[in-house]
Amino acid sequence: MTSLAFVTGMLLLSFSLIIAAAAFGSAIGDGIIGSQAVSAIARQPEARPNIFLFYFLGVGILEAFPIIGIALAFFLLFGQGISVSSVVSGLH
Amino acid sequence: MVEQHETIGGHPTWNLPVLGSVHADTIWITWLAMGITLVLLFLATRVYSIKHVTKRQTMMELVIGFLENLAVDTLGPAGRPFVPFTIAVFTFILVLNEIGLFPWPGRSPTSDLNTTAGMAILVFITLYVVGIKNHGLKYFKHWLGPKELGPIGMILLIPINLIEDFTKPVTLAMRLFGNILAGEILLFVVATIIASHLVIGPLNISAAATIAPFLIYGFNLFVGLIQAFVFTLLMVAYLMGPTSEEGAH
Repeated sequence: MTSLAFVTGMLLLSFSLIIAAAAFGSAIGDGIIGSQAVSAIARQPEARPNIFLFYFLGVGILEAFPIIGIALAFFLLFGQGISVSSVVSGLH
Repeated sequence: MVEQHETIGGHPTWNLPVLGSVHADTIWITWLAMGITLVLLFLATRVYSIKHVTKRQTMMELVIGFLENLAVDTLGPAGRPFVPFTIAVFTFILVLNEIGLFPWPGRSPTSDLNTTAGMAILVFITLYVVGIKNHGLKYFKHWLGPKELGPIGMILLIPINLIEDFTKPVTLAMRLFGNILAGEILLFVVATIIASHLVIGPLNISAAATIAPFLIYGFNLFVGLIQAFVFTLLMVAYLMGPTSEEGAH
């Protein structure tokens, strides 16, 4: 296996791992926030607009770190001199 | 084989005399967004009357009242000078986020780390200027911890408080940048899939992916609004430190 093929393969694998970890963490965090929001609304239905606001606020703050990870993963993959067209042609 | 003329995060550059090489599209789209924000807020508040309340006036009162309550509820009466600042930051970041959704100008300026870092540095400087204005040079005593820890505890807390003070603008910038860039990356990947005519056996994935950009546009609109609000809310929350009555924190 040539060195370029090995490096490309490892870059793709690491990119997938980073995105998988980011999605996993973000899913668990969003689930916790969602479940607490639902139970809070069940306890006090008239506070629904307030809780709705805090739900989206919590999601907005939580999603920061998974999305930073995804942006850095894209810079890791596409900043290595591997052109986008070669990655795309590899999809065939 | 797909011809790629666009890259993720690539910008055309100008060479300015003093500043060197700058991102061209970020700068001029930011100027455009500034003009749009000024025109928008000017038109929305042009006719203000108590007798004939129009729909436009009610909508603007809703939004501006919400932001004003945000500042005044969080900061107390000392928050009233910060209400115009809050409104300006929220509206400007909202326009910056959403201007990338229109076909013509190009990418959102907030998908460039320079713009979000500039806004975060603005917040950082504001925190210190407000703190020094309210407390004088004793404001820097907030790097020591609470008095109950004793002298050794207070000194040990200095690096932690310093890191916190520098992490706040960094996370503000990275959060806004990452969210908007992720929306653009998503559109880029979907465009690549559609353009590459991907057919696996009986499944025409490229044709199936043509529904995706509509959904992604809706999501990007929503995320732009949420992230503008999160930036503004965190800025107001960070302002609670300098405007409070404090001795050592």
